[in-house]
Amino acid sequence: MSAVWQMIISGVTSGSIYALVGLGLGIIYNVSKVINLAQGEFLTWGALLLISLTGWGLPLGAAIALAVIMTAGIGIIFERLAIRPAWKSSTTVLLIATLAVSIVFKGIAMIGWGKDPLSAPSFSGEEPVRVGQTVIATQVFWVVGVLILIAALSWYFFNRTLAGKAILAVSENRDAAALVGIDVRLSVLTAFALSAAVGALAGAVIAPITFVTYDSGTMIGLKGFIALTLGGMGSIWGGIIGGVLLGLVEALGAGLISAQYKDLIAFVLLIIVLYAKPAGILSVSGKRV
Amino acid sequence: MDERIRKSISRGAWWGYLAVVILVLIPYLGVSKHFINLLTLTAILGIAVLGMDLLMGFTGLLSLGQAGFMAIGAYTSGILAVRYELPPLYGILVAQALTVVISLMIGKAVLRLKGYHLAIATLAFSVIMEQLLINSRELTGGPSGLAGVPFFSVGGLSVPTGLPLYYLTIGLVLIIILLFRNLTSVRVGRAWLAISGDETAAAMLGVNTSNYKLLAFVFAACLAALSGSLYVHYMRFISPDMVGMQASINITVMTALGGQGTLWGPLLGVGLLTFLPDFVSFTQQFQLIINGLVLFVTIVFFPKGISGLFTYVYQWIIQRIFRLQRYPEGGPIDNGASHSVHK
Repeated sequence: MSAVWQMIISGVTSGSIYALVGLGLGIIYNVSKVINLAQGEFLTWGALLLISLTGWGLPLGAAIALAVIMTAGIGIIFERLAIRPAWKSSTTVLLIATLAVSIVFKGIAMIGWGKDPLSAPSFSGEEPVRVGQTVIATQVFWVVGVLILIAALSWYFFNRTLAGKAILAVSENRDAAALVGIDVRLSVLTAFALSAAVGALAGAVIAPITFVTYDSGTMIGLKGFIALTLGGMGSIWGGIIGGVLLGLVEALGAGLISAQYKDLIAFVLLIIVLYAKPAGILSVSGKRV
Repeated sequence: MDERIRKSISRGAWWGYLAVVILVLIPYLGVSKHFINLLTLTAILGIAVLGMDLLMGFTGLLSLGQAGFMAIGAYTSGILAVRYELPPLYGILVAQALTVVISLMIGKAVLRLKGYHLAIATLAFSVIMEQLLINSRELTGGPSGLAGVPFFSVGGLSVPTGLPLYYLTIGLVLIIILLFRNLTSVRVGRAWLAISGDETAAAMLGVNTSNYKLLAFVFAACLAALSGSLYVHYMRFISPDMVGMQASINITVMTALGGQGTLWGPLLGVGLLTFLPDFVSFTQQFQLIINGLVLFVTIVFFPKGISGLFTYVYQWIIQRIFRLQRYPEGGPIDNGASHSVHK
């Protein structure tokens, strides 16, 4: 039984990361109808910046804050330089434009941090917590805690603040939002900044439990995309639900069937959900994309 | 000047003939063997990309999984040649049959999706193929790949990598282009274009959209598999990552970069991505950044890709010389098919 618990814990951990990436993708997608293939890069940059900043002797809290703020800045630059010129382009062009940006980000990260895998020390010591037979690394609490915190903050932001409601309005109907005086451009810019910040925070909390290289973002960005598709692209929350589900299925599949088939299981799950419920598991039945 | 010739010049048909003449003569113009091999690779990948152009440019279906079908071609050919010592043509035939069956199944499942959903579903197919190849070690050699694939041969006559394979592959590409260029004069071509324009409207006009979409999907898959079969004999080695997720993304990128819906544009896209690493390899460190910037600038500022840029420049020059009217939507191979798809 403890083996299963161990799998669930590992699934929730990676699932939380997928959820954060999926949430970031979902925010951008809903506001701008862009699937940002460079979303994984925000995570890489958050992690790499944190590793460098703590390496230079900054206290942990300041390093996290600075890494998140810097990455949010990158998100803003990204939106201004890359998304605005392509604003009126087709789906394919926008998809490939963000792919191109992700390649540039990887190139810069490669020059800045080299090709070697890097890691950060654990936030609260290396000694794991034991619950019965189950061993839990302290970093896991950080990862899951960050997901819960971000989910709560997002709920507050999108339901209780004017800026958040404006973004939701733009997601619903861009033209109508513009008509009632909402600055659509600003909303899109805010969405990119927020999305980059969420990605960077996810990167910062996983830096101690994984090795990060300049090109780590690709697969994790893709998993975020799957998470969003599983949960449903039409909702900000789709990515969170889909992410946790994806992490759990992957971990249980890897543990109970074979670790070799971990990625295979994730993508087969995606195909099944797309076949049965193309609009995602959160969708009301009968609604088609 | 005769009106017909004027029109033909304006539309740039002679560019195509010129390109063919250059491609036939180029090995005798003192270029290196490496250059010829890169051209061969361009032609081989070009076959898959032409299929992708049919799917994306003509029918308007965004796929990110073409390398999955390339993998079927490459591994079927590779395994039959290495493990069973069958001649390459058998490999191609078996691979094509297998591809028709698999692409029918996959197509039935994913083609009711649209846009991003279709893109990620096809990408998932490609990743699943890659994972299956990695994990069935006995058959495929696993992650370290399948080595010792013989040269391509036809009826006992060897077609080694180099000049012979070069002529064979550019010949094939030419045949495919000739088949496609008058697509609008047949019913199926017009149906595909109608679907890419407006699927609902096409269905209302009595086009069986799901069948025609499936047909385009299977056709593109077969071309990708053919490309894979030739690729394995060209490389004489195959590993899962060569026909994996990244390869899938590259095929789509090359098609869009060249200019979808024009046939010759995507071929230029393949050429650019095949030759670019060679040109910028002196800047090792900056190679990724340059690749990304070239891709970004081309796709964002010239949404019709390289072909759109060429057409624009070419018609500007022609206009100056002959004082001809510009063909607003035309590429050199213009049959109304060269409009880009906005979905």
